[in-house]
Amino acid sequence: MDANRKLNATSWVDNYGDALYSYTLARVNNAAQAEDIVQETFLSAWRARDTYNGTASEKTWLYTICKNKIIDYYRKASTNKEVLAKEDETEDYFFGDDGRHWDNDKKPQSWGVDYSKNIENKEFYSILKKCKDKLKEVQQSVFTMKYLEDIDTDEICETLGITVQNYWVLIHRAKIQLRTCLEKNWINA
Amino acid sequence: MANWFNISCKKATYLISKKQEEGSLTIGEKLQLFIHLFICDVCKLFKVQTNYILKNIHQHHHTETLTVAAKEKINVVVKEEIIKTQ
Ligand SMILES: [Zn+2]
Repeated sequence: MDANRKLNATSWVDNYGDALYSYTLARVNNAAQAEDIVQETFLSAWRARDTYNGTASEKTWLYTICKNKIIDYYRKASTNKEVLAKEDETEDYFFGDDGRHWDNDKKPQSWGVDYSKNIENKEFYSILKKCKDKLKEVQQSVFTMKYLEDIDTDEICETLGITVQNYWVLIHRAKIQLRTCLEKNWINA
Repeated sequence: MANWFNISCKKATYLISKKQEEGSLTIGEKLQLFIHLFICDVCKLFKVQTNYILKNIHQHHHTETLTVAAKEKINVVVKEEIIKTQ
């Protein structure tokens, strides 16, 4: 009970509401869903208050709970979805029927940027987010878990119940589409 | 054998992605991809551009805020729960 005194639960929403919401919205792409997750995070944290032992800061502890809620969300989202990699027309769209060469209208164009430099461009990130939001749900989950959450491949596969081959295909399709979307809306905007 | 060396763009981009994910490929895959990238500028661009995107993805900072109404609602729900179960 001692540790509970370090928790300032009545101020959680004011202190961390926006930060957790930003964090969540970047990962679930749906404002209402993100609000629910934030609310659930605080409720779960409160119910689990006796397990808080003060080793991590209150903030870190809340982020950990929030992250688990997000992973639960991915897991639920994936159970009802067709996850099987073959049920998808992405490659046919980009490579035509025989797959030998890029479709002439869809092949990568030169971007005229210095690829060794970092992107210091706010616009890139808002467009990237829009492009990410357009991905199919399961591709989006896989991509976000890997590149925003830094979750390793095995854990992603286990959470979503997919094979590692399936994972490669899904993440590959996400990359093909993100690249094209960025070229269209960022480079050639 | 001629076919083995001569992989499609579809396969080549898949191997590029796999290498980005796994950090490595089998010797055979490495050789196939190397040969393909030697002759195919389009897939080479795909590789450079996707590496560029992935390298930069982490600077992604969001500063979204809850709407006043949403924050109010969450505050009410959380405080009710706290009072009820304190
Ligand atoms: Zn090619």
